[in-house]
Amino acid sequence: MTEAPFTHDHLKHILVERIGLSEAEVPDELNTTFTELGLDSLAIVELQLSLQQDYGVSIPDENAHAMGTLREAIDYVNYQRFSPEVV
Amino acid sequence: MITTLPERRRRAVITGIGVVAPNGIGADAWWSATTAGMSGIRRISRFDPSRYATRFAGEVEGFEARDYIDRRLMMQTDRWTWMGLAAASMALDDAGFRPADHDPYSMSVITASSSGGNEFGQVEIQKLWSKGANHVGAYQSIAWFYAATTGQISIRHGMKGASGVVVTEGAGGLDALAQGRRAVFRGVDTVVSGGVEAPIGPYALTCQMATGRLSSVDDETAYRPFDERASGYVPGEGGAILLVESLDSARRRGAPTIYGEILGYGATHDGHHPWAPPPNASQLARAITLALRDAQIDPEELDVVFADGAGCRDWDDLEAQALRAALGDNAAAVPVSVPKSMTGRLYAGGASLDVASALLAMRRGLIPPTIHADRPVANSGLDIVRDESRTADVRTALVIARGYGGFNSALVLRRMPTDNTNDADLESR
Repeated sequence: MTEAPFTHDHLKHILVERIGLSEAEVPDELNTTFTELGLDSLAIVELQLSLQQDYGVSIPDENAHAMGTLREAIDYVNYQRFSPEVV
Repeated sequence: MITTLPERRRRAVITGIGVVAPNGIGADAWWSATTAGMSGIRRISRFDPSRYATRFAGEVEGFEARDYIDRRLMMQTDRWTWMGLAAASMALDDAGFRPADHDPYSMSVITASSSGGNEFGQVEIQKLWSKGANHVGAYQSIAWFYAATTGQISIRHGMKGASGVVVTEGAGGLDALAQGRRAVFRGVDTVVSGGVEAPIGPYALTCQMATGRLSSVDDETAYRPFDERASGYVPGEGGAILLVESLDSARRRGAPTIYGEILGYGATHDGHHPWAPPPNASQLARAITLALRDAQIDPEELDVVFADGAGCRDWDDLEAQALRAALGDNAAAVPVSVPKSMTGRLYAGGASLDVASALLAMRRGLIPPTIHADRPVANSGLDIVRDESRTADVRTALVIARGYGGFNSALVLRRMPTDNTNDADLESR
């Protein structure tokens, strides 16, 4: 499949539409952690469900903690989508 | 007679009222509408009801959750919890009570719910069946269940005392207040209590229609309690959250208004059948008698009765029978009203809203009417307050509530003196 990379804008969309942050609350700084954004463990589950449902990535339990920052989440999705056999 | 109550106990009073109702948001707006006989019952507008057997309901128009809670919390919760959070904030504001100033463990949350987060649950069930289990959102786990509103109120206001949810359908609003009173007896100072319900959606309405008790009349006058033309009840959404406090702590902190005391309570169960009415009103009558006994008052001391008023002839007849049995000759003398004829039955939210009516009736000297009961059942033997509010000096009120499946509850409220600084009676009773 031909896909555009998963970007900060896509992640922002999820954080606004599924978690309820305002657009202004989503920083450009990619090293910001989700915890710093005020997401609790259930919000992080919701975020990961959205990545699985809407972007088709697989997030097995052992990888659930692999995306602590915005950058890690973006990288995880792109890594999965473009080399899914590796994970 | 079983007596388990201690000789002297703490006293539970109500100091704050928060209302989200089909005929008004906020206690003032709702009370103005209610005493003016203004109904909130309309054709359902939140979805197309044309293919449903019941098409009229009491919807809370103009309720904007974002006026009360932030967007993140909205994503995690159902409309029912939005209304509960809004009403709880109103009750706290009304009482001038700032939770942050108090010991978290001295504050409890005990609300009623009879159907949980209906709308949220429907959306997630539709995702489950149309897209699969992986498409159900994580917040379904905390949004649908009956304790969600209690939990969110507790989290938001930092209230960590013993908390819970009561599930007894339409009786829940009284049962939660009674449980709140028990918490006060056991040493808690403050309880956010009462109930709300948000059952006006396709899935929730379908569940209710299965009882065969809803009116199918396409008219704002469909709900006619104690009327010859009773056609069943109209469902509605909303309710009331009230602040229950120990009298001591309310006075210590200088609560601006002590509306009244929860003086007595009784609850029974028909134990007869999952849905058929009982053969007689003995258990409902017993709930009333237990409440009067708990309050240590005689029937003639009652100044008003807020009845359950199901709007079904068999249930209405049973309630009239129970009032005659429990109150004797006084059943014909005491004014009876069913303001829920203006809102529809709010299930777990209905009885606490009736308690709000009773408290404001005491304070303002006005009994709100039962509307559309133009042809009262001739042999009910009751003095129904019809069409217009009635001026009355209301000192003591009885509120009756029934829950589908056989729940019967009765609560007695007594007005507090406006000036409570020199009232020896407050200390001695």
